[in-house]
Amino acid sequence: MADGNGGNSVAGKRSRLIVDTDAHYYENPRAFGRYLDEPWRTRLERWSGLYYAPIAAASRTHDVYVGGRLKRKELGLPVTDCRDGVLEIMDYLGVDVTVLLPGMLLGIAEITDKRRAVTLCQGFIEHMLNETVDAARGVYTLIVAPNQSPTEAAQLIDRYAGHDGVCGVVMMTDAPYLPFGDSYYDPIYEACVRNHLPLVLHSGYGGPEGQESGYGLQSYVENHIAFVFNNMRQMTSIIFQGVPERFPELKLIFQEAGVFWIPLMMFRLDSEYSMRRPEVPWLKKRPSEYIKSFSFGTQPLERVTDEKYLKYVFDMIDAERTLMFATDWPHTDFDSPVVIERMSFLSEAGKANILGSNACNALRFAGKGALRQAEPAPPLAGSRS
Amino acid sequence: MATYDVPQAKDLQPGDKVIVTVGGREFGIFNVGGRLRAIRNVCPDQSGPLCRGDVFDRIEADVTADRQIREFVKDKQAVVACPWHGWEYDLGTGECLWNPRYRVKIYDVEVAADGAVKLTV
Repeated sequence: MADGNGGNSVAGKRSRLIVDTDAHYYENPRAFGRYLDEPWRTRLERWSGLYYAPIAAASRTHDVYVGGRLKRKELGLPVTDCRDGVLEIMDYLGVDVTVLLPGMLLGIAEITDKRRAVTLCQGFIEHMLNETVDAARGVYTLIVAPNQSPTEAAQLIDRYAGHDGVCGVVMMTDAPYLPFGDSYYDPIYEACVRNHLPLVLHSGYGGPEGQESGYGLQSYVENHIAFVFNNMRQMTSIIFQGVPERFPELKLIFQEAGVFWIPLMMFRLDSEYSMRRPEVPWLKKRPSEYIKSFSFGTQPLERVTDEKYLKYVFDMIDAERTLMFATDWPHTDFDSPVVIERMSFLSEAGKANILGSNACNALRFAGKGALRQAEPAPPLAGSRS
Repeated sequence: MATYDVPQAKDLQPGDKVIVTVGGREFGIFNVGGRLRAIRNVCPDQSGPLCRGDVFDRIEADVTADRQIREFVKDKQAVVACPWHGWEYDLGTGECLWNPRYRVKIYDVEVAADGAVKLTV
């Protein structure tokens, strides 16, 4: 950027493809109206206040920016509420491909009104596909599946899966209803498989007043741990209820709980399983083996006192195959690609996998970042074909 | 080490700052209670633009004899907070408040007899 950021921009490092698998767009539900039928068009366009918004990550009840310590607009950075803003931030962060998740609709799982949830999800994907995504320039989004109505969520997936700006489906893990291992969600999993789309399970956050697993924790700094709790709860349900056995083709990606929770879950769930295998005889592998078949966003990468602790975790989770870099821009705990680039224990190939290649394999990029078509094998010399 | 004239810092008032580029590197010069101090415009956390953050009071707390928490301002306008992630650094010592393993180097800023401001880095 012209005004620089102190010579600290990571944008100079362009030697490899960098994919941001979790960035956030600041959608305005009022702008969804034009894509919706009545009475929702008018309801959203004349939205008078908070009613149609989800709880949206504590932004109304707590001081997200810590008394002015954290800044975004003041650094001259645009709000990612339009394609140009997204492209400018991609340049600022030094990423080549971005996967846009919603901002306000991060709280979608906690809406109790099913019709509103389904309508907001439809409005979001219409808005994004018509006004924001640009596969050729690496700007993609996900279909937000309303967990409140799996049948209608599946219809949304079927309807929009073919667009080249769609690279997957997402649900937020702070859902207060049945956890995601329940067969109630089968229509969503079937639709993902049918359309060859991965399912991102992104930790949601209702804030200190949200109806989720962090409820009752008082300050922002303590309640924010719910990002980890929510993913732990859903992962436990998904594994022990046999989702990977019932939907072996379903690609699952967990986002926004850092990386240290992953080995904890591997060994904790293995220990539980070792003592109670007869309760879940449908498991054909240890929980840790299922976990290592999933993919994980890196953000927010934990700050450690010694880099070797990160190395231990990376070893335990087979990180060079399972991790995908994510910024979570513009949220207050975002990560820059430098958190991966500076790791002394990673090989260059390992960095390339985590920063880009793993995402290209896990997500469906139809434009920039797309996997090359497999070259047909050359005929063997002397073959009689 | 080299010393540079930094006239941009000449009229800094307490609580104010200016970002200058010398020797190809950016530094923030802060007026902390009448004393000028400089640090590099790079946060040790993720290389964010530290000096574009604001200066804040250093807030501390202790536990009273009856086991209650008492918050207080230890030093007025004494820390800079990185605008990327809010890491706070004491502008007197360079120490990062959440973890003293991290620190920023404090550079000398002198005001000569003729009023010229000199930064040595």
